[in-house]
Amino acid sequence: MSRLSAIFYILAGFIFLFIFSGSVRAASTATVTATVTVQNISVTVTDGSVAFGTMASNASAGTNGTDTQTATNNGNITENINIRGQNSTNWTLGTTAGSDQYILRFCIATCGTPPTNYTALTTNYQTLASGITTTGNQTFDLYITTPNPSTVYTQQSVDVTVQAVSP
Amino acid sequence: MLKRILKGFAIVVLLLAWLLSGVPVIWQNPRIPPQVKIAAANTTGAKYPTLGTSVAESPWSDNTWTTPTNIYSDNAATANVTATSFDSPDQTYVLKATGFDFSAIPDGSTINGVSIVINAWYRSGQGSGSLDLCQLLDASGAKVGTNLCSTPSVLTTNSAAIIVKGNSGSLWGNALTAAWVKDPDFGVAIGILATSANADVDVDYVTVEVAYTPPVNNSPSLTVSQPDGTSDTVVAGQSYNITYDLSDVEDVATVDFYYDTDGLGLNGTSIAGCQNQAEGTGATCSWNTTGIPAGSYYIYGIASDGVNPDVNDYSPGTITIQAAIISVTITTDGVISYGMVAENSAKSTLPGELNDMQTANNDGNLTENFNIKGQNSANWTLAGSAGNNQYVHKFCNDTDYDCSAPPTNFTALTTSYQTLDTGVGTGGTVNFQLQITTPNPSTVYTQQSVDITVQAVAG
Repeated sequence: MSRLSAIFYILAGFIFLFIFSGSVRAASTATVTATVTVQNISVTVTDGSVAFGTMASNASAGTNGTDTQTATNNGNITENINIRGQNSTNWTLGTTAGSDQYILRFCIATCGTPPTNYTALTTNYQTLASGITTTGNQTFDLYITTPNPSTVYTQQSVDVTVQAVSP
Repeated sequence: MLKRILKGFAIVVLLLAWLLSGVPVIWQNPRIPPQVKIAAANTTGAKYPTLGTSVAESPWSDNTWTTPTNIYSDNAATANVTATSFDSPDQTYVLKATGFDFSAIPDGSTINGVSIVINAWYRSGQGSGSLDLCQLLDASGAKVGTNLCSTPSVLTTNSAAIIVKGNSGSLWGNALTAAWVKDPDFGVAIGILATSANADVDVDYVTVEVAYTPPVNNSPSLTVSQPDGTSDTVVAGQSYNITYDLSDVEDVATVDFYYDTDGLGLNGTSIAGCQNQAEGTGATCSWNTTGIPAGSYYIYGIASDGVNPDVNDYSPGTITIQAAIISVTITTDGVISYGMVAENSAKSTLPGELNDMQTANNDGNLTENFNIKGQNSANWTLAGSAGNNQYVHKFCNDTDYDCSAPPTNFTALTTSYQTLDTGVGTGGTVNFQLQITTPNPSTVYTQQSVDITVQAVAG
């Protein structure tokens, strides 16, 4: 047997032992991978500011065609969007105009002939839109009717709050 | 024709020589040819007494011995009777020589004979005497058996004269045993008869020699019956019972065990926990195979009784030791997608929610213990309670416990291993549920990914 053959057989022996000797491990591990994402429920309103200006008592004005607002879902899940109004410093939010009582309505579709398709805001949330997907949006118009009569003549400021909730 | 007869004769002679010599051994159990037993007769050699007493036992009751303890050695000092009243036919007291050290006689030996030597004389010009009592004593010091001096032995005035009684084949009319002659009260009774007036007699020393044949001592008998090669496979680290029969008729035998790759040559490796094993039938010794390299091994024992040459026996087959493999796999998909979860909210793999129970499987060849740990995510820290960017991940062993009502039986994972289950046999599985609770609050709303690691270690 030549020296080359001998080396070959020795190497083959080592390879055989390596393959068939079996592995001995003191410990072994296996993994389960878990993923999770925290829900982000978020809504923004643009431009977020409506200035009705100076109005007569028992008069109305709206944003349709001039200052329509847009509520956008910038969270990471589909959302329902609610809306509510509030009393001002001197006026009460109502469904009919009265003494120091004003009306503020919202509308999401076919809003060109108020008060058709408009709903009076209350101080409680009402549904503005449902199932707004991520990055989706809902436009809406507001329509105000001033008190009849108003006993104050200073500027009144109110917030219209848009809320996003998980469906 | 003659040639053929001679050839046959030679074969027979060789066969007999082989059988009678006991070598060469061609088979161990049973040994062929049988081991040759050597039965040898032995003697204690002459022993001096360590006690001498003068006792009046009729008719040896006329005159007592002076300094009876002088019979312990061959010197000038004697036990003697010199009383002027010691006249014919007076008989001395019995001079009892006892306290012989025969401890060298093995228990169970056959006593073949007893011989005594008495150095005695009478003093010149002081009468004369004859030795008329030479009888052995039993274990209580009483005279028994034959008086070998019933025909008196005439004394002389020669102080060097000795009288020998008995021999290596004489039992003196007794059924002597090893226990008897080893008793300190065993000995010889001597008495002298005055054969003329005013006799003075001396005894310088007495010796006793016992001839005996030690008991036949058989070698231990050893058979290693397991492993026999059938169903004899273990994983390194497990214990294996070596089974054997060991006995010894006369002695206490022990056996040491070894393992050997080739079953030849008694050149194996000692098994630490199986040394000095006791006799027994179907006895076992538990061999802890921790650290033994994978392979097939014969077991052999070497038995010793401390008397005979050691005997040995190889097991009829081999034990196969497999390399220990510790392995765990997740046999389910190994992926849990909790999806969107509100802040500070929990979600689990239970059937009412994800319905995604995970299963860990012992696919090694040893019983295993399973441990489990969690990890921090890219933005959240794993903790025991929900907090700012701090989440909770809990596990529950659904194989052994009821996981249906978290947090009952759920344990918060940490980044260190905790026990998931113990004693999981080969091929055994452990089901486990997980429940995550999101941070309160989370400042990130991107997907977080974490690993739950299940570790197997030898159980």
